[in-house]
Amino acid sequence: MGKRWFMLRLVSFALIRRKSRVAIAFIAIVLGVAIVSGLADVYYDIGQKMTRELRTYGANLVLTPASPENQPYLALHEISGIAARVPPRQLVGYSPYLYGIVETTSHQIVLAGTDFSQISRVSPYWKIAGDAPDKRGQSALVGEALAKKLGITAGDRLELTAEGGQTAAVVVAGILSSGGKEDNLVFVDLDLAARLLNRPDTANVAYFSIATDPAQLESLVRSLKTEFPTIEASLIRQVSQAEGRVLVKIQSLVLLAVAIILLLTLLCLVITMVNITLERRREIGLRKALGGQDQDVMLEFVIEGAALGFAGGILGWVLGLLVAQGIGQSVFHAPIAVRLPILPLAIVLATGLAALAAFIPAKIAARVQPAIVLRGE
Amino acid sequence: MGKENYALKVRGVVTAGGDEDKQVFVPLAWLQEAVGRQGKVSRLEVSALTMPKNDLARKAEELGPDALSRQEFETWYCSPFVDSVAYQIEEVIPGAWARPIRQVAESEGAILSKVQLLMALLALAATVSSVLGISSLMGAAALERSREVGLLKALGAYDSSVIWLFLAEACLIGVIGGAAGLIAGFGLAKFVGQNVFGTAISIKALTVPAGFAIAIGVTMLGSLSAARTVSRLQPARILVGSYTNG
Repeated sequence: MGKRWFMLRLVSFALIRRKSRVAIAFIAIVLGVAIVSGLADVYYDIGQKMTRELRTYGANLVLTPASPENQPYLALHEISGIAARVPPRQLVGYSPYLYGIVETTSHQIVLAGTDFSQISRVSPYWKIAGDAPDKRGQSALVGEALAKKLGITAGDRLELTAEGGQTAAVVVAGILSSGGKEDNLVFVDLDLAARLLNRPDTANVAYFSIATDPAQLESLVRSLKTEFPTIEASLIRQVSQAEGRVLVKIQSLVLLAVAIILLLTLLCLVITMVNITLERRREIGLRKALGGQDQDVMLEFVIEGAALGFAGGILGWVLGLLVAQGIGQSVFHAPIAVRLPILPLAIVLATGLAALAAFIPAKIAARVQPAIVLRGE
Repeated sequence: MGKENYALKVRGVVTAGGDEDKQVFVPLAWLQEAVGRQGKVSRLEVSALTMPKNDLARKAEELGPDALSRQEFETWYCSPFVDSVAYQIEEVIPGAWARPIRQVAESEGAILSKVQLLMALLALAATVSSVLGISSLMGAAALERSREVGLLKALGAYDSSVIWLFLAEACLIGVIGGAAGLIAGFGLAKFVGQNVFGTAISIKALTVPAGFAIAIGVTMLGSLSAARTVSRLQPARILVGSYTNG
């Protein structure tokens, strides 16, 4: 009892009396753990964050009828059934398209019916000059190349006549520019297109934008193939492969940077602990001269180091959350997911390293003859 | 124009997940010959290395390049923005209509700027932890020499000259360490370039002075606090050996 009480007093006095040196070591531990644990959070979340950022590429999965000869259309309820199969957190958006030929007063044009509310999610790269179309207003978007050819500008009225004689009048809300095949189409609301083309509740194709890694996407495609045999689900390779490559590069770059920072920080932590222990060689000598046992002296130093590391590990982890959220907000404008397993890892790492960094110099100092240390060599 | 029959051999099947899946690909020169349009193409796809859009590029996109002032137009024209590349293609090929493929151009810009910001923050974190490491090392090295400082002061050195001595040494160490560190850093950049991107990373000339400045600044800062502590000590106490830290 007495001995243990004495040890507690020694440790607490050593920490309290030498405030400035202990503070330096403590700050080193806290900052080190904060940087490393914060970056670890960022590293583990980067895949998910970048996958979502990469959705600016637009759709990465396309649904088409499995046998176009027998059944050239997809049913809308099947498309929404597949949308329900994708985890809601991963589904960025999906838009069905129904295509058909209609006539304006002068030309034949290709009409595409779609859900306008999904454009900003599935095709964020479209540039619309003019207003965004609203669903109920019978409005249309005209592709830039077609608008140039027919001399259409935003605000014009278009009279559309389908093969079966159905007619509709739409107002051109905006001119769409994508640099792709969309530049030659006229887009209207899906319901309007279905009525005009007499194809209720159908679509030719549906584009899905799903935020998940390429491997998961592949397995989703495989399971869709068995569940919905009438629908052909395929990955848009241009998008999904480019994404996979970019993701791997970013991840390995971040991993490398985090590893270097981890090494640097741990080195700094160890150096600081070794320093504050080496400074107390004379104290060790004095304790030995007064009859202190080597083990007791070393134990005290190890407990001191461990206590410092433990407290620093916890505080550093808390600060690390701030580091991670700071990076998350400034880079991705979204919070970084907190991984609790990093907390025990941070504590164990900080405690163990601080104890080890105190133990080795204390052991060397304890081996020295008290007389030599005390004389000041 | 009469119909002609040609026999072609299918050499492979393309899967692209796009419109290409519904097309047949043949050599361009052969098709030009077959349809009697020698030297003609109906569409040209260009893959260009461009830089992400900045405010100037956005202004040119919103208002059109003609709305830019003379100086802005020159900057815009000479920068590899995707829109200015398209503009120049239209100039070179009369009658052509060049438009950026926005799916690629827009997303590249967005992702590139995120990655650059992320790497900048990582570099900042690395700098903070190196500063911590270097200053704790330099501080320890200065404290170890307290006896030498005691002797200097006993022989009549001023506090300020002790501090200047330490700073001069730190400066020298910073220069030598900075040079070695820069060489190691270039090696690391080369390694990363080869392993992550498969190409060499171009080395900016600015990193050399910046690297030296950081190395010298950090070592001097790290030794300054320790040098001040040491220089304030009483020489007699240090030399007699009764000095204990804390």
